[in-house]
Formats: sequence, structure tokens, C-alpha cells
Amino acid sequence: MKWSSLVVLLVLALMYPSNGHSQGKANRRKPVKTGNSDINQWWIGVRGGVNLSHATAQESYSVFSFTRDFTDGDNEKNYHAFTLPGLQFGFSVSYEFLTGLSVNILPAYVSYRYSYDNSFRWYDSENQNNNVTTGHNIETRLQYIDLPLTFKYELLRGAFKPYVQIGGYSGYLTDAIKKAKITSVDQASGADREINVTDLSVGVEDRIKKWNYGIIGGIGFTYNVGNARLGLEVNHRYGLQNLDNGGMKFVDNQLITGTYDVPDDFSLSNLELSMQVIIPLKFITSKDYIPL
Amino acid sequence: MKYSLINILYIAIASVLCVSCDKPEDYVPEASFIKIYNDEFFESSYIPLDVVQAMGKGYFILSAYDSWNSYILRVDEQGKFMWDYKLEENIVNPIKGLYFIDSAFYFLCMDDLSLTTLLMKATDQSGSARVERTYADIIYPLHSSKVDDGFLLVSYNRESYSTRLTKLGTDFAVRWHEEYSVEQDVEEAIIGHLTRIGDRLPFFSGQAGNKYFLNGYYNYSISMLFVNASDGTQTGAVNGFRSKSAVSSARYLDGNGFALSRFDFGENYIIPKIDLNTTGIGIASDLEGNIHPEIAPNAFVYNEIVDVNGKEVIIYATSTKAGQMLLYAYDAISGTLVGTHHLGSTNPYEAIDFVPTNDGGLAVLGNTYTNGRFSRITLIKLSEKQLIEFVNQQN
Repeated sequence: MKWSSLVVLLVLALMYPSNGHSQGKANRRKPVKTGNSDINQWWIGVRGGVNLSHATAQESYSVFSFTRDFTDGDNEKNYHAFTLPGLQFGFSVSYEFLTGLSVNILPAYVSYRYSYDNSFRWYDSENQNNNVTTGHNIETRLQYIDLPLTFKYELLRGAFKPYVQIGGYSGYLTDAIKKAKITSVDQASGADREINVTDLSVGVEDRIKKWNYGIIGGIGFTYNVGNARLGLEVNHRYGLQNLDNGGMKFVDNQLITGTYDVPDDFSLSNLELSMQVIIPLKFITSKDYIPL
Repeated sequence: MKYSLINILYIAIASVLCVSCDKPEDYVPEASFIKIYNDEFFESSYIPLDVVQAMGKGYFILSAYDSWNSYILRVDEQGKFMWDYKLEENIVNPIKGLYFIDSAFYFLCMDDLSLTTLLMKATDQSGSARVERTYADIIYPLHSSKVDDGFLLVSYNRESYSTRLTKLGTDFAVRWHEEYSVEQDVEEAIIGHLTRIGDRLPFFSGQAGNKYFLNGYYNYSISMLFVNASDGTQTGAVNGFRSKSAVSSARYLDGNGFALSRFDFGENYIIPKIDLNTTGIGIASDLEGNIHPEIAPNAFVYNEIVDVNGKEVIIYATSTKAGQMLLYAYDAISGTLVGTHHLGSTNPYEAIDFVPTNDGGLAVLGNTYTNGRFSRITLIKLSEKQLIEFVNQQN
């Protein structure tokens, strides 16, 4: 399916329910029921914030196959959890179909970053002080257009509204880059401290699956400010998809034969902190014209 | 409320469609891999020579180590290390020519004192190799190859100053041998080649219909000789110039047609299709072909006809001045270039050999220098899909 087809689908998805509240129909005067259970409302807003990611290796791969025992820890990737910040910015469209219960679409442009280290060592078997050790730090940055769909339940009905939400998400990859930084301590050549060897940046968009999906859950609150609501929420995304594009895993590039980096099968989890401002699309009042 | 539920369903279906439209490939470990067989020792130095696939049960790699000692490496179908064995120090000079017969691997080496040729047999059960047969009158083995009814063995006889071709039967027993005189003492050059301290020389052999061909010293130069398959009588030659100009690889096509490569004072030429007179005398430097300045001087060149998805192509494997493996694919009928493929980056990589695999892919054997300095064996498996893309690059 082409991206344009997706956009059309999403636009349809977003437009279709709006028919019930389109201008023409909105002009029809309908009695507004003040019973809380029958109030429905559309909200739109903008949201943005930061996120931290954690890649989990499901199956690890290496270009090296060792024919002799090797130093413990060498050749193993050590993933760093929730260390590199990414950003997200997007919109929210909510439909409150029961009091306090809403369905939300949160399209956003999101960048995820994570990294891992590994190292390799060679030495003189008669004098292990005569050795060379290379350290490899591999940072990956993935950029997605994400489309979470959540169900949100507000726990209180005052101006301050804490809530919980849960749902699923899918994301379309728009860019992927790996940055490799290689350092070396080459005692065999007379070095007594680490030196930089290589800084390399390689596009890996073809090596990551185009689509990601998973479940999302979080907590947050909104606070009424005039007719708008300001909010802050924390969500956890749990990826259900192995993001590595298996068909490209060992297709040679600078990373595999140059820096000995072979991507693992991995999934991505993520913690995001977002601020948001949302406004209602219609103003519902009681018979006394008090905003509800 | 009715509309709300439909809306939600509508959105949910749209989301599911988004995900379901993605059908990426899963990784198939035996279909493609890149492996470097590493140990952590400075002093380890491996020089791979040949690879054979064990009927879908992995690969067997023959290698030299530390100059001319013998080393065998067994890996599984995913390229993962199974076992290896460093042969006794008196068993040296493993040569190209590796055969998988009845679950055993056969190859030829040399005794370092008597210089006699040894047939070695290795099995998975033993995880090692032992001497299966000794050829007391064949010294300095240089190359072996499989032919219809047995094997060919090219060697150098230091006592008669001759290149020798020995025909072995399918049981590896000697059927006949023939010698082709060399008019100067080339033992030093051959020792330099075998111990990797001198120039690498392009010894090879093979079958061309009812003739055999071999590349070895003849008169004063490395020459490609054509001989009768029945008794080894020489019928023709393509003469080189000393060891500076000669044919570097050859594969028989049909009729008098061959796919060749040659070198001439450091320049390399690829000749994907040429008719040779196997009953006359030719000059290697007269063979017209395309010059390939990207190929490293003195680089190994190996070629083979490969059936790729029903299309016969001649694949050449060699190495570039930039330190990459380089594969060329030529249409076997027209001789036109249909694809090129580079392998390896940053660290030096050198192509040694390749073998078409049972699953329609290609396993490329090479040498690399890990961290830029430690000589190791590498095996790169291209999947059938990669191979098809490689040989179909023409618009």
C-alpha cells in the first residue's frame, strides 16, 4: 500500500465521523441533554514532548564466529536503556462519547534514539599487555509518523482531570540512521589511552521494517484553562514488532564488513512525556448556558 | 452513539490495514550471512584456499596458516563455526582442490621434508584429517581439479625441471602422468609462491571436452597448456612471458570457447568469451579483452559458470586495489557484462573462491584483515534473491 493510499484512508477515517457533526447538521437545532451520560464532544489539540527508548534484542547476531575462546563480554552488544532523548510533535483528535470516556487519535512525528556498545580485542598470546582493543558505540535514530489510537478514561470530573489511557499504535518509518563511533586502545602500537578511529553515519532506512506497531498505555491529567485544557501525560509504548528487516540483515554495507555491526532482531519500547493543549469543537452548555 | 461505534471501527480497520500492508521478509539464517572466523591472537594468520558445500550441511574450508601450514575449518549451513583442525606441522602446502565424497572431505598437501604429495581425508566424526594416500613420486603439488572420470593434479618436478600433470582416478589412484619441460630452475619462485613470501602464481587445471588444460611453468614462462585427456600428450599452448604475463584463470565453455582472465605486467584483463586454438601456439598478451584497472596487481581471479535461476552466467571473483572483493557476471552466451557486485569495506577483503549453493545462492570465500591487520578467513553467503539481482543489473 502506498503512503498516499494510507493518507486517504486516514482522512476518510477522520472525516467520516465528523458527518454527524458537520456544519449542516450542526445548524440543526438539537436539544442539548444535560444528563452527563449523553454528552458527546470532539476535542482537537496539539501535543509534543520528549521520549526515551529501549531496544530489546530478541536474537543477537554477529559477523564474527570465534574459533577459539574469547575474552568474556567481547562481541556482545550491551544495550543502553532509556538514555538517549527523542522528540515527538503532533496533534490529538478526541471524541468523548460517554462522560469521561473518549477515543483518541494522536498522530505525531516521532524520533526514537537508542544505542549499544560492544568491543573486540586481539592480543599477543605470549604477552597479553601487547594488545589492541576497539570499542564500538552504535547509535540508531529512527523517525516515524506514529498513529496511536487510545481509549481514555477520566477519573475525576472537576477542572483537574487525571486520566488513564490504553490502546494501540502503528508507525510508518520515514528515516533511519546509524552512527558508529569506534575508538581504539592500541597498546601494541604504543598507545596508552583511547583514540578515536572512525566516526561513521550510514542511512539504514532499507534495513528497518517500514511499519511498527504495538500497545500504548499511560497516565496524565488535564486542567481547564478557559475553554481549553492544558495537559501533561506519560505514555509507555511497547513494540510488538521485530523491527529489523530480515531480508537486508546481511546485505553488505559499511557497517557490517567495516565496523562489524550486524543488526539484531529487536523490538522497541519507549517512554514519552508530552504536553498538550486541547480545545473543544462545540460548546455544550446547560439550559443556564453554563459550559459543561 | 451508533455513529460513534461505527467511527471507531472505521478508524480501527484503517489502522489494521496500515500494519497489514507491510510484508517484510524474515531473516533466513542459511540464505545469507557474512562470517569472519576470528580468534584473538596476534600471531594467527590464515590464508583461505578453497571451499566446498557439504550437500546442504554446511561448508568445509581449506586454508593455510602461518605461511604454508595446513588448516581446515568446518562451519554449518548458517556459517557458524563447528570445528577446526590445524594439521601436523610436517603436513604443509595445502593446494586448491577440495572434494566432498561420501560424507568425507579430500584435499592434497605436501610433506615438508620429502616434498611428496599427500592425499588427506577429513570427516565430521573425527574432527580432524589424516593421510589417506601418499604419492611418493609427485613433489611440489600446485593445483588439483575434478574432471569427468577423476582428478587432475599439477605439480613441479624439481629433479626433471618439469611441470607435471597427473591424472588420478575417482579412487585417487594414479592413472598416468606427463611432464612438460621447463628450461630454467623455477624452484625458488615456486617456494616463494607456496610460502607466500614471493609472487603468487596462477596455477590451475581443468577439462575442455576431450582435452585437459593446465597453467604452469613451461619453457621459460607460465603458460596455459592443452593436452590430450587420454595420455597427457601436449597439443597446444598459450605462452606467457616469464611470470609477468600469463592467463590467470580459465573456464571451458563449449567448442573452442573459453572464459579467461589474464594479467600483463600488473594490468588485468577479463575475457568472458574467446576461442582458443588448442592445437597451436598462442601468446597470452595477444588475447584481446577488457582491461580492468580496478583489479589489484597479482590478484587471484577465479571464474565459474553458474546457473542462476535458469540463466547461465560466468561469474568472476577477484579483488580490487581498494581492498574489496569484486564479482563480475557475464552472460555465458553473449559474453556481455550483466552485473558487478562489491563486497567488503573499510578493512581489506580479498576474494579467493566461490561455490554455487544448493539453495540457488552463492558462497564467496575470502580473506580479510580484521581491524585492518589480522589475516582471517571470511565466508559471505549471497541469497538466491541477491544473486538474481546481481546478474540482472542490465536495464
